[in-house]
Formats: sequence, C-alpha cells, structure tokens
Amino acid sequence: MNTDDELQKRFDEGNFSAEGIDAQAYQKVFDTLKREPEYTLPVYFADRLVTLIESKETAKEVSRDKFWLGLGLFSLVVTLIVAFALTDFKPSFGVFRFLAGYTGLAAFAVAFILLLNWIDRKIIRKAEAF
Amino acid sequence: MMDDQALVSRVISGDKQAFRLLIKQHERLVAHMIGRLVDRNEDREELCQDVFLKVYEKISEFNFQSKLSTWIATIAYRMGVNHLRKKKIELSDIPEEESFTAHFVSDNDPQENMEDNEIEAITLKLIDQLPPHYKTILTLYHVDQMNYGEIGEVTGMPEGTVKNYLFRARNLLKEKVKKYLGNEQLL
Repeated sequence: MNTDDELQKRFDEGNFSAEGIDAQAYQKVFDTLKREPEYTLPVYFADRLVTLIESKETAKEVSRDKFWLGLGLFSLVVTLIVAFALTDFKPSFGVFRFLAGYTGLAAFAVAFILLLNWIDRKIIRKAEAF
Repeated sequence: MMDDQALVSRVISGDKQAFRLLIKQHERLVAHMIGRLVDRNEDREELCQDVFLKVYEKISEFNFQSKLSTWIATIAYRMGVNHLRKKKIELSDIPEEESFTAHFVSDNDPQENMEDNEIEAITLKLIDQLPPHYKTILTLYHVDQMNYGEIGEVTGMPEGTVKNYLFRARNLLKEKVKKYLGNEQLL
C-alpha cells in the first residue's frame, strides 16, 4: 500500500501511475496546484507604475529645489543684514533720482519687460513643447 | 533576455525602461503571491504596486546573494504578511495537527458542493481556505517552480519546515478531495 509520503514523492517526480483513491485524490490535487491563480495584474500595470515613480521623483526634485531656493534667499537676507551691520552701510537711492524726470520711460521699460515675459511663457515655451 | 546583474545595474543608474522590464519579468510571481494571500482585488493591485515601489527603493541594497526573483518574492511575502496583520487576519501558524486536520477535512455539507460536480473548482476553494503560509509555499513550489531552499529564503523558514508544510498541505487537500471523490463514486 502506498503511503502519503511515497505518493507525494512519485507525483513530485511526475510519476502518476499509482492506483487507488488516495492516488486519484493526489492526482486532482497536484493538477489543481499547478494551475496559475486567476488573479493577474492589468496590462498597463508596469507603465502606470513607472509614470508614478517619475512623477514622485519630479515632485521630490521640485520640493528640493524649493528648499534650496528658500535657504538661498534666507542666507542672502542674513548676509545683507550682517554686511550692513558690519560696514555701517547706509543705503542711498540717489542714483535713481534722475529717473524722476523720465517716468514715462521707466513705465515703458517695466511694461516692455513684462510683455517679453508674457510672450516667452505663452508663445515661445508652448511652441517649444510641440 | 537581460541577466539579473545587468538589469539591476541599469535600474540603479535610473533607467526607467529597465525597471519597466523588471516589472514585466516579475509581475506574475508577485501577482501569484499577493493573489493567494489577499482576497480583495483592490487591495491586491495596491499591494503589488507597493511591492514594486519597495523594490525600486531598495534595489541598490540587492547584493546578488540570491536570484533577483527570490529577493522580490521575499519582499512580496513580507508585505503580504504585514498586510494580513494590519487587517487583523489570522496567519495561524500551523495549528495543532490533529485538530486542524479534523476541522479542515470535516464534512461541511459535501452534498451542496457535490452538486457543483467540479472537483477542480472545489480544490481551488480548498486551497483558498488554507492558512496563508501553506498557500504561499504551495504557490511558490507548484506554480513558480521554486525549490525548497528558495522558498525557505522567501519565507524565512528552514528547509525542513518548508517540506513539512508542503507535505501537510497536500495531505490535507488530498483527504478533503478524497471525500468528494468518494461521494462522486457513490452517485
């Protein structure tokens, strides 16, 4: 009579010649165990996951850039304060006083720079994207 | 097909195409393991995603002491088990042999199942009723063709325990199937 141990070994080796109800039952069990589980991942799984990783990395980079920008601005302000304190520097805007007589020119310069920025954002960068 | 070492190096250097390939090569293995351990499809997909995110995060720590597939299966197994623990699903390490066998093999209305007359479907249901460790070992051995050593590495169990679990799981299933076969032959 076949013991369970022997039967399992035989089935493991691919020898399905045993007889009896135990062997029949093992046959069914081994056949079923070889079947792949029904659950499968969607076909787009890998693409979606890579996109997710890329967006996470981009978000991480942006927040790192923001951190360094913040730190840079903070250091700039601190440096300015320290420099002013150490050198007893008094800010003077006398150099800009001559602009008082050219208000129109100053306003045009500002408006022109804003316009160039707008064109750059709305037209040039969009065109480059395509 | 690219070997493990080349694939891992490319993933570490930031090659997303290589990671996509790594996912494609191992998604069946991860889906088998998670699919056997977790019931809900929504949880399964999320967990598979978490497994590969963990693989991506930790791939630089992979030291080629084992096959890449074994290492990925280890991560999947740990995350699957943690998920079950979080959901307070009993892992039930092998219970007392006799009581568990008696409970598992007991006739809970076999007539109802016999109407189904589909032994294979019944056996699949029976596999689902096994404790998670049994299901994992059965799947890794029979579906993913891992050997005892590899399964031991994935589950953290000694090879002897793996063999024992495998034997007992198949024996339990056989005892249950035998009852249905007996009924079928009587009809």
